[in-house]
Amino acid sequence: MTERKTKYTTISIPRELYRRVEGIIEGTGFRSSTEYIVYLVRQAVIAIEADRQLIHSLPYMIPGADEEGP
Amino acid sequence: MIDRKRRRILVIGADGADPGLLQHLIEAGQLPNLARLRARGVCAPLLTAFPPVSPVAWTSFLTGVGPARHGVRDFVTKAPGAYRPTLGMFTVTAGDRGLPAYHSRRQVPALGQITTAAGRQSFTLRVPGDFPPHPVDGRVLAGLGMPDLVGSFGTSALYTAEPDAERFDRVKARPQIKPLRLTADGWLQGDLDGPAGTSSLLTCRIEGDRLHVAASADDPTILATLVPGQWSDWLSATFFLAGNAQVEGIYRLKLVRLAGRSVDLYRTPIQCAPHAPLYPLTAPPELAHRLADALGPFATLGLPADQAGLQQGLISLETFLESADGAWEEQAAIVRHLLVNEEWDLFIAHYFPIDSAQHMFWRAMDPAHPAHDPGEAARFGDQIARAYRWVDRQVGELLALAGDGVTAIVVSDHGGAAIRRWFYLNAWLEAEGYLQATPGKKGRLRMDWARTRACGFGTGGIFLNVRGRDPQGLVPPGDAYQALRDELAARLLGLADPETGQPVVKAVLRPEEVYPGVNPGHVPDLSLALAPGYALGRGESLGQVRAGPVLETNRTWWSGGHEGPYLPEDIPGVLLMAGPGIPSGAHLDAPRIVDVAPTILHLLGLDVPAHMEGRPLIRSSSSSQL
Repeated sequence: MTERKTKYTTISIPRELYRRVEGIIEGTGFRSSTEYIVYLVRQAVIAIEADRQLIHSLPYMIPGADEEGP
Repeated sequence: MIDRKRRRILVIGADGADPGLLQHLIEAGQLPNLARLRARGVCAPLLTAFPPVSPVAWTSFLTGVGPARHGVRDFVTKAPGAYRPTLGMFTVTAGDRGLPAYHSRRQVPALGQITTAAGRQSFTLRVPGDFPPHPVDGRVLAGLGMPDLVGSFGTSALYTAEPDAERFDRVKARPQIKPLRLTADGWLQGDLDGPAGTSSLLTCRIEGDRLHVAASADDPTILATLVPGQWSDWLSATFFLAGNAQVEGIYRLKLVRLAGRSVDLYRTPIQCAPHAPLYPLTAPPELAHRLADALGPFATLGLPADQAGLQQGLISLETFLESADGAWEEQAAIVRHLLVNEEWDLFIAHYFPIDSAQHMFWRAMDPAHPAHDPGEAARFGDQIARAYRWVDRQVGELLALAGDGVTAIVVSDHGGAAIRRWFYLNAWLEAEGYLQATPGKKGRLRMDWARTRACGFGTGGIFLNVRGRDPQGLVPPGDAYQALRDELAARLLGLADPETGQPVVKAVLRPEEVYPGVNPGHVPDLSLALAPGYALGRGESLGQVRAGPVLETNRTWWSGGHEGPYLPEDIPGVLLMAGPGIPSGAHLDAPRIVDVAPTILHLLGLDVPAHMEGRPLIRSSSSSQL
């Protein structure tokens, strides 16, 4: 299996959305719509992961212990 | 140069200070400084914001408007147009080098901005929800909201060579039990988690009855030597980000247990180093450097007491108290340092100990609490009163340092009360057929949004799944939406606790009342206020549903609070004012938390902006500028 096949997978997005990405790629420095979409998804994932990490560490959200720790 | 003839105002924010407990402790002679202040000024219960949680209420204090206008509306809410919880205090986007970037939700100017624009010098220290600091707000030290280095509200760890030992069975946060690995040359090493997936190493060695912490296996310089029960000073760790950028974090260790080769080592959350914080800590940024130069490293996490570690069974109550006490004393030193060494007209310092103690130790103080135990009461029954006494001492010291000509204001964002029973709103919605869930992983329930009409998110919020607004919305807007809201409100108001026969829900509020003018879908379609003694069960704020009863007796250490949520009049804060401009014994007419900012501006001789919802509480001629 080539490295590309082990490191990448294929997803489908609506063709209309793909065309919109193609329409805004000019001048961004990205070499392809795929590269730009990967960048956008990565940015969204970083933000959502960071949001989740904050939410789940709020003491108000954590189920309470009825015994103290060691 | 500051004109010393100008009035100066010192505001002490006593998070969670409850008018009833304050009165009781003053009468018992335990709060001499607050008693003196009250005797020469005014004191009254203070109507708080809804929901009555710290970032919402303190932002109302800072801005003079309610949450609909200021934009900080809850700890957690539902992401508009998605079925996931999102932080309500501030927003997060992707920043540089794989790091998060944080943005304020506050939509209106705060006291710091207004006074600075008027040429006055202000400090706003550690106020919850005041993150990231606004550069236009004068001088600010971030409060609750400021994350640790990994980007959480505080992720501590317990290092051990025996992670599978029985004594850790009760620990809920298994990833926070970090294995210590034995190296070939006899060092014990464990991982220190850094930002954006980076890590560093904690290196230590057992020698007899003590543990040495070294810089690294290659550099055996001893940074700390600990015996059981002992805390280290602040230690630092370096993490390497993308592009070879380095970032420093600071943490403290406590040697919890050492028996032969068996070691348990507690580590506080790794926090931003104050001399080079990764995330915005102060405004202007140089303030953090100045503090670090003058005082050395200090806890920068917005909520430095490890309540989460205690909740997860990671630490004992003694370790929790030690971590909290250390953090409070550090903060007190920062406040004193700035108060004495900097020029100011308005100085706001916020303190957390009372709220923290009321959350964790209510059951030890209150014989009527279902989890009360006389043995625990002997150990921890005084902790809440102790927190009030600690704040009272700060009041005395700060007033002595500030001098007689200062107007003093002590203010709290809400009070405190026992949490006797948990109400699982989403379990109720499921039992009544409004919410559908299917079995998911690890015995949990998985939401079935295509068949769900209503779900709880945030502090008592109910979001309907509205067609055209939500991805799989099925409630038609218009009459059907209104009818479902009416039906839910009526049924929730009729819900009685089978154990007591008493109503669980005291009020069901509409967004038109709580959040006028805010776009639908951005705020709950209904907001619950619970009867005193009840609070929403854990996980309910996150839009999750659990398999289990709708009501449950609270047997946990999180035994008191304010976040039921309750109606503002059921959990008031307190307002105490004395000094120049405050007529002794004057009557305060039903003061609200939105009235405090206009009162401060009025006392400073500044105009109250027209957009503020509050009004000055003192309007006598003596309140004009000196």
